[in-house]
Amino acid sequence: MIIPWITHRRWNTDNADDTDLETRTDHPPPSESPDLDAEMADTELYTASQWQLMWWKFRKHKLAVGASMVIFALYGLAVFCEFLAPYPLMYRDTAYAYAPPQRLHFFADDGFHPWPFVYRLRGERHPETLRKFYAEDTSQRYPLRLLVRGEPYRFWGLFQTDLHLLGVDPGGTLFLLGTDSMGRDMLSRIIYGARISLTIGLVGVTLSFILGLTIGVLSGYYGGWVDNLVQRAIEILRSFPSIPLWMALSAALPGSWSPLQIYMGITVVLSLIGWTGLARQVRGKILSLREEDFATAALLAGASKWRIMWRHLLPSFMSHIIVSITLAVPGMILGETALSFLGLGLRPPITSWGVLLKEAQNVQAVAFQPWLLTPVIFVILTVLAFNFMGDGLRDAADPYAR
Amino acid sequence: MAPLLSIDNLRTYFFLDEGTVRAVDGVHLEIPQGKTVAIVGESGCGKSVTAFSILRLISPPGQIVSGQIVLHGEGNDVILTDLEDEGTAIRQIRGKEISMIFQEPMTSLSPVHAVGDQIMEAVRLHTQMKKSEAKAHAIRMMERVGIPNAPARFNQYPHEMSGGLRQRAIIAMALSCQPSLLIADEPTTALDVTIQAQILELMRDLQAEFGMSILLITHDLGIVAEMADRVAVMYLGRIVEEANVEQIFTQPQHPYTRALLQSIPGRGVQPGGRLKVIAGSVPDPFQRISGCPFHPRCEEAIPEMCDQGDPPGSVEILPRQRTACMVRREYHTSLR
Amino acid sequence: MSHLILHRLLWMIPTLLVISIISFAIIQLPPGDYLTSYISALEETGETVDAQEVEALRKRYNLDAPIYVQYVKWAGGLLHGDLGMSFEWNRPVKQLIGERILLTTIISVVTLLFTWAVAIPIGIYSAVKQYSWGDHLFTFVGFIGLATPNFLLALICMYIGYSVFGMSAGGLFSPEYQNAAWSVGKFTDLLSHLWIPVIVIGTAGTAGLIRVMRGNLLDELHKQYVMTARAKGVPRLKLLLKYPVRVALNPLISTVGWVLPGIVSGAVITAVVLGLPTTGPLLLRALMNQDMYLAGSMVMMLSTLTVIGTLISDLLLLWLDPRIRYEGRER
Repeated sequence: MIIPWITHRRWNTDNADDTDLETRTDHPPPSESPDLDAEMADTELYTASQWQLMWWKFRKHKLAVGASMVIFALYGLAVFCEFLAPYPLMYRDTAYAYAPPQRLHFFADDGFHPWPFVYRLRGERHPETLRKFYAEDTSQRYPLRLLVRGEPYRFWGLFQTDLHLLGVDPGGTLFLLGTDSMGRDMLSRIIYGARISLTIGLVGVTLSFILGLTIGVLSGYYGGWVDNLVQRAIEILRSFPSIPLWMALSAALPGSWSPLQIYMGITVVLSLIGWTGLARQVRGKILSLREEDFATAALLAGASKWRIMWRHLLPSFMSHIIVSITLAVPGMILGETALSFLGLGLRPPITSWGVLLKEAQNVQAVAFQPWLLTPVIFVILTVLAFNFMGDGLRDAADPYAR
Repeated sequence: MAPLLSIDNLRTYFFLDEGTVRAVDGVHLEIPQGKTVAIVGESGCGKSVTAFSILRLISPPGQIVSGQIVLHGEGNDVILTDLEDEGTAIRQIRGKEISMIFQEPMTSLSPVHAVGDQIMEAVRLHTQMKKSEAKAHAIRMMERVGIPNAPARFNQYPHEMSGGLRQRAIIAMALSCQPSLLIADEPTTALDVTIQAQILELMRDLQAEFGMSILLITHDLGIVAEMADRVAVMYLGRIVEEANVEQIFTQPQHPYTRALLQSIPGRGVQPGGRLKVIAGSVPDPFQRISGCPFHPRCEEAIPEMCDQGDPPGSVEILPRQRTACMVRREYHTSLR
Repeated sequence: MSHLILHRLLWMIPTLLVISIISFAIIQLPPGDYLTSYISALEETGETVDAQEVEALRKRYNLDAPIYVQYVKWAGGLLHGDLGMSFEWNRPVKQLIGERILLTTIISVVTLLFTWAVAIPIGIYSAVKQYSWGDHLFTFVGFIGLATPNFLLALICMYIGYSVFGMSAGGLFSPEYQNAAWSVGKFTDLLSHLWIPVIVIGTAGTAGLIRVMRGNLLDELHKQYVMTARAKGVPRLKLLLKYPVRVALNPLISTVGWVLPGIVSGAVITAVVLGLPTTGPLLLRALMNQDMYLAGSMVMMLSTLTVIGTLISDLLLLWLDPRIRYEGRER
C-alpha cells in the first residue's frame, strides 16, 4: 500500500549529494503527516498509468506514428486482400505474360479527364528480335471503376462474391504493377502475399515470444546452474549463421506436407533462433529488477516468489518486451523472404512476397521485367515501418528518460 | 597584492529548448595569489559553471554571454574570455597555468589507459621533456602525492586503484606542470570521510610547497572552514556574500549565508533540538525573479523593497565583507 | 589473463560438440537414410545398383548401427578431417568444399574489414555531429540498408556492374582465371571482382555497426574523463580519438559475435544470386538434392568458422580492454 505513495513523492529535486545543505521544508516527513489518506488521494490525481505515459510520449514521435499507420494499412491489406485485389490469386491470362505496369492516364486526345483511365494493352512481337512487347491501344479507353463486378472469389472462405474495390469494364485489363510469366497480376499477388508474409512474422514472433519469455523467466529467476545452462545454450545458438541453419532445417521439411504444414514448419524454423534474443533480455531485466526495492517490499509483504514474478516483475518490463517483439518481426519477414527466394521456404501455391521474388532471381529480370521486383518494395516498407515503430516504442517505454 | 585571477561580471547562460538557464548571472570574484578561495552554495547555484567558464570548458548549449576573466601573469595579463574556442592559446593555459580536478575520481580517469600514461600526457603536452624524463617526473609526482610503490602503480589502470588513490593520481596529474591555479570541484565529495581528511591535508601541503592558488568548489561548510582563506557564497548564479573565512562564520550578513550556517549540525543547536531549514525551495531555473533572488525564501525580506527592481548589487558593508542584501545595507547605513 | 584464454579455448569444445550434434541431426532429418536416396537416384538414371556395393557402403557408414554409434563414427571422422562422401558428386566432401571454404573465408574477412572501415568513421561523425543533416542522412541510409534484403542488393549491384562497368555478371574471376592455378594475376583479378559481394554482404552489418558505434560514442562523449583530458589541454581531434573513441571501440569488437554469423549468412544468399564459387550455391544444391553429408558438413564448417571468428574477437577484446583483463584476474 505504501509503495506507490513513496514512489510518487518527490522528496528532493536536487541532487542527492546535498546532504549538508538540507533546505527543504515543503514536504514534512511522513510520520508527521496528519492525514495520510488525504494525501494519497491527492497524489492519485497526478498518477497517469504507465501505458498512458507511453502513449503520450509515443504520440510525439512523428516518424513512429507514421510507421504505425503504414503497418496498420499493410495489415488491412492482408485482412481484406480478396476484396482489395483486382484479380483473384489464381487468375491468369496467358495472353498477357510479362506485361509491364499499365499507366493510369488523366489526359487523352480530347483533353483532361478528372477520373483516371487505362488504355487497352496490345501484345506485339518485335519484327527482328521476335521479343514480345506491349503497346497501348489509344483507341480503346477503360476508365477505372470502383466496386466493380469481376472474377468471382470466396471472401474469407465464407461466401461467394465477385465484388472488387478496383477494376475496369469487361474486355479491359488492369495490371497496375504488371504481370508475371503466366500473365498473373502482380499487384493482386502482392496483396495476397501480404497475408502470408505479414502473418508469418507475427506467428513466428509469437512462438519465439512464448519460448523466450518462459526460458528467460526460468533462467533469470532460478539463476544458478539453470541460468548457466540456458546462457550457454543461447550463446551456442547465436553463434550459428542463421541462414544456412534455416536453409538446412526447411530443406528437411517433408515434401509431402500440405501448404499449411509447410507454413507452420517454416515459422517454427524461424523462431528457433529468434527466441534467444528475447530470452536474454527478459533474463537481464529480471536480474536487475529482482534487486529493486519494490520486489523486496513485496517479498516482505509476504508475496510468494511466483506472485512477485508475474504480478510485479513482468508488468514492469512488459513495455520493453513489446519493443523487442516489434523489432523482431522484421527479421522474421526478411528470413521468410530470403528462404522462399532461394526456393527452400514456402512453395507455390502459397504466395508470399518471397515466393513472388523467386521469379526475379536473375539479371535478365532486373533488365527486362523490373516490375517483378516490386514485392521487395513492400518488404522494405514493412521492415522500415516496424523498425521505426519499434524505435518510437523504445523511447516511449522509458517515460521518465530525458 | 595583485590577484592572480579576476572574474568580472561573468554571465554564462544555457540556451535550452525549454528556455534559458542563467546559470551564472553577473559574478565578480578575485582569487589572490597563493590563497584558497571557496565557492559555496547548493547544487545548481552555478558554482561549477563558474569554474568551467574559467577554463573555457563550457560547450553548447552553454555559452559565456558577457564578462571578463583575466589571468594576471608576470608582466602580461591574459584575457581568458577573449581566447579562441579550443585554440592553441587556451590549451596552453589548461593543465599548465590552470588545472582542474573533478568530483568523481571513479570516472575522471580514462578506463582504458594506464594511470601513469595519463599523468605523463599533461607533462608531455606542456613541457619539452623527453618521454623517459616525463615518465620519471610523473613517477616523482605520484610519490609526492603519496601513492605508495609509484613505479609499479604507473602501469596500473584506474579500476585497479581505490577511490582515494585515484584522487591522488588526479591531483598528481593536475599539479604535474606546477600550475598557478588549481580548481577543485567538490574534490572529496565522493570519498570516505577518513580519505577526505587525507586528501584535504595533501592539498594544503602541496599548496604550501608549490604556492599555487586554489579555487575550491564545495557545498560542505566544514571543508570551507578547514581550507579556505576567503569564501564566496553563491545563490542562483550570483555571489550574495564574499568575505574572509572567519567573517563568514562569525558575522554572516546575508540572510542566505546565515540560513546555511544554521543548517549545519552542531552549530548553536541544542542536543535534541531541531536543525533550522531554509523555507521554500530553489526556484524553477527558467524563472526570473524580480528584486532580490532570495526574497521568496528570506525571513527578513521587506515587501516592496526586496521584491522589486533589479537584484541588489554587492556592497562592502563591513570591511573586506561584501554583501548583496538591501535590508542589510539599509541597516548598516543607518548605523553610521 | 592466460587463465581467461584457456577458459575461452576450453569453452569451444562443448560449443563445437553441440554444433556437430545439430549438424548431424540435419544429416539425419530427411526420411530414410542417404543410401535409399542414393539407390533411387541411381535407378532413375537407369544404372543398376550392385547389391554388394550397397552392402559395402552400408557397412562403411554403419547405417545399421544405432544412431549414436553413427554419430560417434561421423564425429570421429571429422576429427581426422574426414567429412564423409557426397553421393551426388561421389567424391569426398573435403575435396568439394576445400577451395570454396577458402574463398568464403576471404570474402567474410574482407567484408568484416570493409564493414568496420566504413562504419567506424561514419559512427564517429554521426555521434560528434549529432542531429546534423549528415547524421540524419546516414541514419536514413543505414535504415534502408538494414531493411533491404541482400539478394535485391546483389541483383542491383550485378545489374550496375553489368550495364555500367561491362563486367561479366556474377562470379569471382574473369573467364581466363576461372580454372587457373593461384597466381598473383588471379589474386588481383579476385580483388577486382570482390567489391560487389563485399558491398552486398556488408551493407546490413555496416548499418547496424554505425548505430552501435554512434550510441557507444554518445555515451562516452559526456563522461567525466573526457572533460579531465580537455582540462589538461589535449587538442580536440587527439582528445576525441585517444579517449572516447578508443573506449567506444571496445564494445564494437564484441559485436563480431553477431556480425560474423550475419556475414556468413548473407554470403550464402549473395553467393547464390551472384553465382560465386563459394559454399553458398553448393550448400543450396546439396540441400535441394538431399545430399545430406555434404550439407551437414558444410553447416558444420560454416558454424565452426563463425565460432573461431568470435573466439579471435574475444581474445582481441581481452588484449585491448584492461577492465576485462582485470575482471578475469579477479575471478
